[in-house]
Amino acid sequence: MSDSLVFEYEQSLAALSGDAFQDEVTARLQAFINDFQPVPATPQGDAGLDALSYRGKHAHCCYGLEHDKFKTNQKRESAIIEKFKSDLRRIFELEFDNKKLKHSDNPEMATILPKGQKIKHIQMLTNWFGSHRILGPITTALVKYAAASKCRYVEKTASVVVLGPRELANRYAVDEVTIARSRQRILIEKVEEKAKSITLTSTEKFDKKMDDLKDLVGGSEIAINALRKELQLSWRKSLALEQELNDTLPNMHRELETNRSQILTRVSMLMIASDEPWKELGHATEIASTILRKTFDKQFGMMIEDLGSGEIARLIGECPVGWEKPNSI
Amino acid sequence: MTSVENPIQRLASLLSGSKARPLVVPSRLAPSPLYDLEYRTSIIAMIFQKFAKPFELGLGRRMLSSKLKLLQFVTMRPWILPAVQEWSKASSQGSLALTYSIRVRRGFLSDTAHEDVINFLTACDILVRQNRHLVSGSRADQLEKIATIAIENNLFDDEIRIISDLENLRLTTSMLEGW
Repeated sequence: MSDSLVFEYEQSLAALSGDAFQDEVTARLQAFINDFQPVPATPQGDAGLDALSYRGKHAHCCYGLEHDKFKTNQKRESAIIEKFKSDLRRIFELEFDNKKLKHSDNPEMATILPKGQKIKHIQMLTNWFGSHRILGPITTALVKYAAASKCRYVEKTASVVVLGPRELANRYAVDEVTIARSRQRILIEKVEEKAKSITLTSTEKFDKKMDDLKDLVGGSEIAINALRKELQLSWRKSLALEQELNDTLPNMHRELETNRSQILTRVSMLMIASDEPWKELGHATEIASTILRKTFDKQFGMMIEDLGSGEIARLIGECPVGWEKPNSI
Repeated sequence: MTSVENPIQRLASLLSGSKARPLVVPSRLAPSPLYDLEYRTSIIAMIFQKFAKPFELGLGRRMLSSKLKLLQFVTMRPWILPAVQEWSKASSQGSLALTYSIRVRRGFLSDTAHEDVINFLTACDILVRQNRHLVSGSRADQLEKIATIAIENNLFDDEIRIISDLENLRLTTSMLEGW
């Protein structure tokens, strides 16, 4: 059983990409390394570091390559090598100038690392490790960069390892919580991917409402167009999630159907009863999230807010909730 | 998520500064046809008509209940047919990989709405449970009528096309058990 969990987790890590992969790796390592410290990219970039641990002695760099973007193993190898070499150059404060390495200050390093601490070990974490040909170029670059660098923040003798999904899955115990978390992330990715291909049909009434909004709120055309796109994206995500649930978790789909009706009843009651109906609409996502949380929190906790927003966008898109111009306009 | 990022709050804010009149029409919330008893009964009727085999000297017709469950599941979700075809070709002891076909298997097994409709049809004596089979009951002619009307009137073109495609699908014992 435990082998199955490890294998499933390995598959999940390999299926994730981009921020979802980095978030999952962060969550996993945080569970096992006490001082695992993620590095936010704000205010001035992450300086090439995605996380630190062991009082700043270990650095962690993540790369979840987009599966559709790189079709062959050779392209995947090149992409991973280039990304990690670029991270190394930033850590070593180097950049290319006419193909020659030259020093380039990375001032954020001093704001991230403990004072006086230098990195001794670098972990490069990737969602694809299907070729050992990644290793040579990265370890060679490490030696070359260490020689060329002033090494203000990294030891000259720093080491580097590359870890793929299998290594990450095998390194620490995999439990049901880890599996549930990774399944949620995969579901979110699937829904976002599916949403891109969903075509909204019968949008005439929605379009009319947005046109009315432009008439009602003069001079906000750009803002309203942007809003229209956002609402439609949330609406498509809601439809994508519904389809995913329908295909793979029909009982949950049934619950969603019931919840949708409850959301509409609650939002309608508040809007009709209020002197400030639009203020109530502003709270609609919160109302939807509260209702959805009761059913979906355990399995889809990470996406409840998006789900709530999507359901309201859908109610507006499919027309139970709307607005009209007063007769005088 | 901040208030600036939430499109619903931005919309509410725009509307509150306008003279827009709220319009709430709960009846416009279209329920999914998946929970429509008549729709589901029609699908079951068309599948039973196509796939049930005569038995007991031709006095009745029957089909495996798990086969009916799988076929109706796919018929109502034509986009999953490629995943089911992939499943049909996969080894019986498939891995736990998070492939789409594996997740669809889980979906098929947990489709309790279908069981509810079958309970209704057996209560009406249209179908009868007999071990692993569903057998035509004393009022099975009702099911036959529904299927005939649906087909003759082209009520469910997409579903009829899928049911026809399903004839070429090789169903294994492990598929009908969900794995």
